[in-house]
Amino acid sequence: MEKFVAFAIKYGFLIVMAGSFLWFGLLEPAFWSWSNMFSILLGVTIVGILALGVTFTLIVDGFDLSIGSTAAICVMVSSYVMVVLNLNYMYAIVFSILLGITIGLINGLLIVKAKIPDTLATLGMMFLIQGLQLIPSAGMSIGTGMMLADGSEAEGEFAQQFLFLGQGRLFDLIPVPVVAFTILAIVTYFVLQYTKWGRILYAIGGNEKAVKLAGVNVERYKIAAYVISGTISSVAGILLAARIGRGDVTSGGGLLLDAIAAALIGYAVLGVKKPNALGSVVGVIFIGMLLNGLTMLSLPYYTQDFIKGVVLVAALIFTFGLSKSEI
Amino acid sequence: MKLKLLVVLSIVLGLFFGANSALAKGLKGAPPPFDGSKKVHIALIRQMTEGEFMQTYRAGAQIQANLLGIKLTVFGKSMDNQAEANFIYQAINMKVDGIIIDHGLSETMMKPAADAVKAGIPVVAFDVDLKNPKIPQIAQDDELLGMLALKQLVKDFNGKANVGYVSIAGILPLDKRDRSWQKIKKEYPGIKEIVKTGTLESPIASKNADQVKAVLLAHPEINAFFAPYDELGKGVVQALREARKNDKVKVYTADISTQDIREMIKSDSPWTATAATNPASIGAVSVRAIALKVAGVKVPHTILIPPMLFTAKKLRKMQIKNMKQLRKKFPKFNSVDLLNYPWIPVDKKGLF
Repeated sequence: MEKFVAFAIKYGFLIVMAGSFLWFGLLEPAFWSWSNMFSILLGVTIVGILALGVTFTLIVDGFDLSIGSTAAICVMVSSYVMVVLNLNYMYAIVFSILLGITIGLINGLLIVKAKIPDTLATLGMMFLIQGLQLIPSAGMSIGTGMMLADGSEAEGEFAQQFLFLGQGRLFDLIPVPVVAFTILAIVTYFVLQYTKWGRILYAIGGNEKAVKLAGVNVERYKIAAYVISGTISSVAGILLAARIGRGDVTSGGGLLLDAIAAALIGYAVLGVKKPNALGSVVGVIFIGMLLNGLTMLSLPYYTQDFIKGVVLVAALIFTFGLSKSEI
Repeated sequence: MKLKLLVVLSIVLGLFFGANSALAKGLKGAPPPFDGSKKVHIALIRQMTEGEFMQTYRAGAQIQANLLGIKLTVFGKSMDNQAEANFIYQAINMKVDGIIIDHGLSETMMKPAADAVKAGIPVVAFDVDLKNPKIPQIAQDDELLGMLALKQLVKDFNGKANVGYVSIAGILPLDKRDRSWQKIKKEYPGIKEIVKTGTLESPIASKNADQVKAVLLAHPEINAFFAPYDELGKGVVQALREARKNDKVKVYTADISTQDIREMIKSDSPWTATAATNPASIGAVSVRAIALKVAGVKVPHTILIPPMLFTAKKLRKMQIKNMKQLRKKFPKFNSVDLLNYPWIPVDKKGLF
């Protein structure tokens, strides 16, 4: 019996995932097409990238709530740079990433130096950034030809190369954002699983005092985790801007919660019971696959949030409820 | 034992989901595939899902789809532009027979829509300019919508008014109505735009109410508001009531619904006039348009829905309390005589 429970905890999630994959395909063969697979991946890319970012902060027992707003402000900043300032798109990318690093740095310092609890610090920053993103454009979306404060029209536009990042496809099949997501996922997985830094981050999350006593500069690592989270969020923002093609003020709405849900579902993958890169990626793909498959089977669109919630709660029960407690 | 039960359950659920795709009823005198040769599957992909206009549009589309024997799958995540683009690709993967794109940003939707056409799936669009000669554009006559309401404003104020303008740039129908506003301002210099505000953040009415309240404090000289979308108008009215200025300021909008009517007929309501089309009939026209395209019938590139002006005074006089009575007393509002063919059944009794 014990062996069975252990097996269920470790492989249960993946089995359910494989099972649904088969079931959907049997009922609707179009589900198994390559273009549908990439469609699923494309749909979850932005959330997936954010989930990877938030995983870092979850590992050090923190919580970066500002990831959604960071992505959103980078959408506005890159649009502003290209459309209003009429600069080359590379500036848009560089500014956005610098902004992501800065936000991460501020988060880290607030938590480590000002000793504000993680959730509160990043929550405050979330509101600040959310409001800040509206100011340069006076609350309006930024698009080519928009009217500026002095009555003139904005002349810049989204460069084709920039749009390719979001809307282009390699070999006419693989969406570029999916490539970016895959590369980022592999790098994150490798860093967290196989490098010294990854091990130290996990150690900090497990027992911060012990790590500090061992002589590690815990503060620097924690700040680094938030800087990484902010940077990754800015990458998500750049891709989002490229996908939408406009500095849309409403972008980024549900991203935070979806990313957190994916990261938490990741706890159940392979029964690791802690934040991990593989879990976050698998979690986000599972949700995407589920929603795609159910839609093909005529599930109404307005039930999707409910489904996500059910999966999350089930995954958490599975993760924490089934296992015997360990100290 | 448990495994067997699970397998049986899966099969039953699978059959249940798969069943509705099996049967197709033919229409008399209809060209294929509406003659019963196939159950046509249309995707309705939306950007905006909140508010009465959107809900009524969808209801109208659904009824026309049912009458035509079309399976309608609705995709929409409120104000999520990236998701809307993804839905197109999902619809392509599902090999639907046609796609209706309901609102959206041109920049985001142009490529996905073009990809759908390339994949051989006909597309029609409502209130989003996809800049594609193969995609018919359905729209309310937005410039006329704006003009009708504004001309009433000019008449009521004798050419001199301090107007608060509530609108959002970048949404195609609002941009078109804005053109009428710019024209009116030029033609009647006594009509001044004191301030512009507006947001589509959810919940739309409340968020706009907050903004308008601030505007009223900063600009007490405003005596009229132009809000060319009824959700925005609701916000303005809410703000005026909370600031106790409902008897001093007049509100002119676009769109109409039962909630709007109930507010307009109140004796102390600031809501003076609105120009509108029947969103359910637009939904129905959208479905007729895509059905015709699927059947291979030529559809005009631009399909304009004509609006009507409704003043609060008229509504009160005719004792109209809801949309049902409105439709009864204004039969012209009911069904739009566009894209009607003898083989297409239309709703005679209900929404349109």
